[in-house]
Amino acid sequence: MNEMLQQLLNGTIIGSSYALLAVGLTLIFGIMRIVNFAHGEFYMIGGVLCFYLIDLLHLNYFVALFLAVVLAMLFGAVLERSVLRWLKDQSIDSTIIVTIGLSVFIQNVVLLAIGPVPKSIPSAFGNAPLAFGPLTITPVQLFVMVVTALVIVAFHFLLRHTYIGWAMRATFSDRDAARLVGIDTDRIGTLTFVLGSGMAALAGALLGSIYLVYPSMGGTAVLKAFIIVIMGGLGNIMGAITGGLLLGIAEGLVSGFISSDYSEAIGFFIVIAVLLFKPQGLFGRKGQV
Amino acid sequence: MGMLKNGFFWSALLILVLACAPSALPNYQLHALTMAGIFVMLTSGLNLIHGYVGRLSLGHTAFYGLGGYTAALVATKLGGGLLLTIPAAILVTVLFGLALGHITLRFRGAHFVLVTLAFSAILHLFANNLVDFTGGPMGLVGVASPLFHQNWGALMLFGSKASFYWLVLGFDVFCIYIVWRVVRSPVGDAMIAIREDEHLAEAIGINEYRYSMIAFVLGAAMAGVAGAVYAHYVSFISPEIFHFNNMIMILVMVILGSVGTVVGPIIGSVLVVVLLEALRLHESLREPIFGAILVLSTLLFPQGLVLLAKRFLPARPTPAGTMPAAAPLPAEPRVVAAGNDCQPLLRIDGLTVRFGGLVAVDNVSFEVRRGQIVSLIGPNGAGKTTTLNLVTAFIARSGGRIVFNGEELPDRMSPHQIAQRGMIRTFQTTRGLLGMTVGKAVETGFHRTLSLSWPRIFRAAVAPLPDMQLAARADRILREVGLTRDRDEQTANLSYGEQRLLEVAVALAADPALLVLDEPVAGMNPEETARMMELIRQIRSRGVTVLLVEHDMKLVMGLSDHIVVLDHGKRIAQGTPAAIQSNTEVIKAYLGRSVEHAAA
Amino acid sequence: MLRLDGVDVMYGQRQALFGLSLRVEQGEFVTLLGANGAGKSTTLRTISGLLKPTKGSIEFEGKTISGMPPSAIVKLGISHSPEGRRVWPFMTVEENLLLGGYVHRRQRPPESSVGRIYELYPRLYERRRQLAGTLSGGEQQMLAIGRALMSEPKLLILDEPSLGLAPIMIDRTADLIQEIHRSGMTILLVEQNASLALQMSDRAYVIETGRLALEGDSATLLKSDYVQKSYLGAA
Repeated sequence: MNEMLQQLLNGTIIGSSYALLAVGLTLIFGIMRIVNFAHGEFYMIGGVLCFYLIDLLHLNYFVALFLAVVLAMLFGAVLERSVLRWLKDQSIDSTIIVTIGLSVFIQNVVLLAIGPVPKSIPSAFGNAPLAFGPLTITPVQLFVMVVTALVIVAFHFLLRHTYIGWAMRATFSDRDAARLVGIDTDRIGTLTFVLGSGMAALAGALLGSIYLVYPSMGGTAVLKAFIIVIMGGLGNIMGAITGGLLLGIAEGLVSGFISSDYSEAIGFFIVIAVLLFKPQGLFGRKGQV
Repeated sequence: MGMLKNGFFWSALLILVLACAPSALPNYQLHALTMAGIFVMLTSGLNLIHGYVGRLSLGHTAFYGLGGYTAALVATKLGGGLLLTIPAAILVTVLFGLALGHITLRFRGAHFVLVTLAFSAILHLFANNLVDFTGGPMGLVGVASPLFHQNWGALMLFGSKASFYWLVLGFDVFCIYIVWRVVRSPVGDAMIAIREDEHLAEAIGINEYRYSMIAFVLGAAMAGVAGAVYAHYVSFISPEIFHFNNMIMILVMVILGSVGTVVGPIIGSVLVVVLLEALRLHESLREPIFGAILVLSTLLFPQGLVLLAKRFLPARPTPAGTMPAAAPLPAEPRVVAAGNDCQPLLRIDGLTVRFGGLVAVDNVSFEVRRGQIVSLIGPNGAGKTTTLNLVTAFIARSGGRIVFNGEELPDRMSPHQIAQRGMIRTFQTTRGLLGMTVGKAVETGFHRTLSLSWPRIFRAAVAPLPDMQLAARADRILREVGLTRDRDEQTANLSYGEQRLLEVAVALAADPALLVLDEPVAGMNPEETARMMELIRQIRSRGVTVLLVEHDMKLVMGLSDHIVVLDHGKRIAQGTPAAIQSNTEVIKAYLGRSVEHAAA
Repeated sequence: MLRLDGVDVMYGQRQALFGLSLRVEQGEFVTLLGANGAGKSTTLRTISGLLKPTKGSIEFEGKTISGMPPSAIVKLGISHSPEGRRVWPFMTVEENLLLGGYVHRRQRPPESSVGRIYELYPRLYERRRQLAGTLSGGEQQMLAIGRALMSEPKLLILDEPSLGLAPIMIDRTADLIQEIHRSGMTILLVEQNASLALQMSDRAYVIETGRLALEGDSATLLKSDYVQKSYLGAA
């Protein structure tokens, strides 16, 4: 029983980062209608930047974390304004091919730059695990959970209680009506992409602090993000959050009780099951943010 | 005819030249060509699904790997030789292709892409983990290549690099031939129609599911053969075959070559393999370059190299002038049996549909008699187009009956099933059959008159179907609708009015008993409208019944034998044009309240 | 106040408007009539900036607005309540209204202007926390108009406000619109319901297949049977 609770906890921690990653992806799809296969590369860049900012510039962990996210967001802005603008009127297949191309390009350029050896982000906390009753959690795990929770809550607040957030929801729901009240939907698009990529980078840096950082980590991550987004319904933010947590927990349970090799597979089976029985997603309802 | 001979001659010459390669080329170059040949099978298969039907499948490596593992398993566990492993690989990939196609083809866009990708990833996982069966990460080694079985004599026919080269060349010729035949046949036309506009394709009787599956399964089988040959060629197989990098490479080859051409995959495969050889020093640069190619080629020249080159080549002289004097054409085959003249051709009874809480069409009933022109009119939002969609099975009804040509239609049908029965419709807004010539578009319309049964489809893959004189029949229809454009003109170059005329021509080619027109003159100027009116009269006079939705009252009042008026989803009036024009309910619905003040 | 001069507009491949010219003077109530597909909505969408003219110009209060993005045009004082209302169904009535004032949110916080709308339409105040998608058709139309008024426009554009509404709601909406006009607003109305539109407006234009077919005084047109003929093809 205790073991299961522990796995649940571990799964929730990972799941919260998954949720962050997936929210970014679903946001980009919902508002910009872009299926961004390169999303995983922002995840990877977050982790890689964080490592090198500490390793090369000897910055403090928290500063490095912050800067890594900011730099990734800047990169996202540049990418959106240049390449993605050209994709505006193209078919879904074309955007998929282009974002796959970007993903492959970025991933391998980074591979060339830093080599394939995984890196470990040095911990800013002690290693002594903290005990909460029968469960243990390391300080960095606690940090990851707290930060992702804070960011998700802050984002939720943004969407519900600020004009920018409303403008995003309005653009998502009915683009023309948004333009007619004077919302600059192009700028909202850029902002969305930047936010989404920032979330991915943060998730990458955080999970990279627990595990390892390596150039191809974006590949598996983006598949999981897509699985979560399909589970939760394309464009559905609550769905992405719930789906992320569920996947994390499911992986943890499978890993703990069956085999860690198959923990990767559980996501695929879930998504196929969802697509067969409820293709609009477990929580899918078109238009809802 | 001279043209054809030319094509065959050059192809045969090329094959002969290629067959001599083993004696002329050093081993490592021969190896590169052999690998290129294996990729040709893979890319041709992907091209069928992506280029011809228009579905981006990222799971192609799944079939490559399945073929490879099947062959390796049969060879290592059962000692089977090529004559066993290759058919086994084909069988396995066809079965998986049928299953996967059935599951995934119902999805569109991003969902389809992701599920096919997931399938490949799952197989990768299984290959890695089912160590006892698949050999795990190390894979299966020692895949021998006897012809029949390892115990049957030293028939190690396939021991040398040259023999594998010829084997691959042979399969390539075979695969390309099949693809070429399929693509040139009505099966290929159907696939292209689905790619360009799947609603229009269904509306003229093309079974989207069937033709998508054909492309998918054929592509899977070809990938399976490629995988089996590969396993024998390198004499081992490992989970790496499922790796996404392979998928990227195949995708680059297809896109670079030219999506949707027969030759494109060949050019793409050879080009990439040659480039890889040239870049051999920079192994690690391979992937980023592929990535860059994907991005740049999609943004800058999405049609690929072959189509790009075609633009610069001198246009082929159209053979139209060399056609022999028009021989008497066979009478247009009537595919719908003439029914009882006393019965209406179409009877709608209590048709209803609900969307959420809204009743969009409420208990609507009307009849369309043979030889009539019936118009459905009503203010904006009355439910006219919804009614059309219900009748032509593009949406499912919540209640009511539809009886067409004496047959009561079941609740749930696919649009192509309606079209197969002789009800052909056009659309108000539609993408249209772009990416082809005017003549080809009309020929595509003949699909349902060809009665393509499965035996005929299989035959189409290996031999040309008997000449149904499609080109001449298409020309006749083009003359009939008054489209004066050259049949070799690209449909995309037509003006708006001409495109709408073309839509009617395509619908006529499908030999309708009932032609359903959705706002045929929307956006047309008075001259074009008059032309369409005349055309509709002409169509009626050759025995086709017409049901149309329109807002242009000149047309409606001028053409219709019978008018049905809808408002807020209900039928509020029906009758002759004169009756409708003086019907106060109708006037109120269109012009608004207090019409008494207006008339004062 | 608003002037269209020889405007051509393409809708995808086909030309939707051919050399359209019209004007709306300050304080006027002008209506645009025509059969479906004639180009009425296209005209409004071009004025608001959702579509760009390929030829000709559009001027508002002396400034050329053709080619400007919608956000700039809203800022200048044109507000468009679109065909089909297009409220955001999963946002509350209040959020919908407040977003109406988005473009001026720094100078004129929408929270302070929304009270005015609530006074005019107490129904909206009652339902302010409800999701807009749960409102009836007539209430949604009220919301759409209220949303359009939030930016304190000088010119209010209304696209088929009677569409899909029950007759009694059409009456209410018409009263609402006339009330707005009486308070001094310049209005450009597109309606399929010709009789209604002619009763409310001062002047009317009739569009046929993208071209101006007729222009005149509303009262006169109402009495003639031209409209009836053109709508029901009795000519």
